[in-house]
Amino acid sequence: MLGARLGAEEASHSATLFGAAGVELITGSIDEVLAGNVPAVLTTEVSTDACLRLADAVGKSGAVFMNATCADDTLRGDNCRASTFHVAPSRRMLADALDEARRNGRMSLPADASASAWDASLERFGADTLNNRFRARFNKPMTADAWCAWFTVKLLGEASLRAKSVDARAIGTYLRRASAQFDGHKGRPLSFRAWDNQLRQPVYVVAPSVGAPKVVFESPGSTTPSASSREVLDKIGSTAASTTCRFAP
Amino acid sequence: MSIRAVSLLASCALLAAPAHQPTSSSGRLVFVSNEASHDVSVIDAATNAVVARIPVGGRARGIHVSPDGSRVYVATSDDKPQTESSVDGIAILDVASKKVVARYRVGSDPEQFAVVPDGSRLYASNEDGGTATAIDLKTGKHVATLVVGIEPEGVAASPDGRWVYVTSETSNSVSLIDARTNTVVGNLLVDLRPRAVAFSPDGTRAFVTAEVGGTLTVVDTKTRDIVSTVPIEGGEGKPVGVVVSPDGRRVYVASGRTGTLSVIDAATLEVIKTVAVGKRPWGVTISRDGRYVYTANGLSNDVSVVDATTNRVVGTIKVGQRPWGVAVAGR
Repeated sequence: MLGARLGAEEASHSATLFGAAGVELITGSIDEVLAGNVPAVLTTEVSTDACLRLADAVGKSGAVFMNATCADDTLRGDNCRASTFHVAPSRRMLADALDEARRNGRMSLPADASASAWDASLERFGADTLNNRFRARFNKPMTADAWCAWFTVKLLGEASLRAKSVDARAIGTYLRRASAQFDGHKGRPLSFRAWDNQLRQPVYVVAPSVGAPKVVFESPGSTTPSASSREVLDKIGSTAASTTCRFAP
Repeated sequence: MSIRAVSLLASCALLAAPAHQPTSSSGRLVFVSNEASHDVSVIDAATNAVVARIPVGGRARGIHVSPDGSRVYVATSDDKPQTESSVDGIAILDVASKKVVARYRVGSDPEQFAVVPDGSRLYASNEDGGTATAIDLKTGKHVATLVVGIEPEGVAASPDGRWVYVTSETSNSVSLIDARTNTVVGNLLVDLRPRAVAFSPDGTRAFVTAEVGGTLTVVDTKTRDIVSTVPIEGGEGKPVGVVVSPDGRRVYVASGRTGTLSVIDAATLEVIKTVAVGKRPWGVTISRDGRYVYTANGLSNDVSVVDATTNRVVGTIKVGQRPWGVAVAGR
């Protein structure tokens, strides 16, 4: 939860600039947390079952469930929920990224190469400043899980400021707006796909290397210069045509 | 044949330019901060030849000329953010001798800064500290530390010296500092990753680039309202540096990832022209006569010279490694 802590500290700092109250993290069991009438919930649980159970419980309470941990595709497909937003990349996005890396001449990618939402060695687009802040604060590298939690809290704080509300419904409505986008220190504006509430984002292919693992590819890679950021980022993961998600009305 | 002869003549003229001459015939020198080679390239604007390289001892980023033209200020930092070292500061270059004559401390990891128009003070952003620091330029003494947003970056002083605006990239904010009291009197929420800010010469407008938002935010400085958000390259540009022409009619925006300079009509806020310059232009400035716009291109290690009357690139000058910012002394 270090990522969420840094996210809350920073979101609170930003909020005070605009006279807003800031972001408070409440931890506890799901019943305890929901009793606090919170607008949004995230978890450290990584199992699909746990994420699905929380998505339903949180959805029923009227709050927004922010999935920063579970990669499972069914959570974005048959089991998608309108009140759940996925910051963690889906398994399909990660697989697509690895495929793209192999297609793009990284045939020599070792079998244990992996794709992830973040890496502590990233430098471009302000990634270095974020990695430095995290390391300075906790004396640890920022992992992909930490980035997902940090970014979840950051975007919630920002959505609240821009929507001028701390209400779950107003925040959910803001996240669903076609124009809503956020900066996650990945160089492109990040936004949620309307068809499954998955965050569009670049992912990084990391290969083991002498010393520390190394980022060897960013996916989606460079494409036609005229493509918009959204078109580029929609090259990985489910598309509007392929999704099996049908949000209950 | 005749064309070849002309180009030969031009290159002969370049070679023949006296490299030792301290000021050019036009009296204009262009100073370029090189982040990776830790130095400043000095270009004679009359010949577009590099006449000096001045080592500054650290990553050179923000760069500005003093209002009287006698000094060049360069933000320098070490490769270790979060800790302040002896290299973190503002290097003071003497234009006549082309030497570093002093270094002032302005808090850790200074990146961009602004000098108030009367030359008395300098305000710098501390990227890792969430603060801006003001110092007295006569004494180098600390004047104030102001809490701004997270990851502060762009700094500009209003033409009357009353206001200093500081952008913060993570907070998507612009902090408005009253330079008389040195207090933050307000904050504006702008588009994603605000990188730089520039005032119109009459001080009524401030222009803020948003690198990830791909836009230029236009602020009414009197009402402190956002009056417009102008997409750069259809919102797909990566705007970083911004400068307003001395007559206030044009706004020039350097877009890093697309390698372009957008020329915007300040009255209609329409993009008139998109000029291809070098790779990853960040810093941008304009000569005082409004004739030439210069971009510092970090990945092609050069400076593009754009003629503001034709909006065409009329020169490309090799400088040091990873040029970051550019400033003009003289007309």
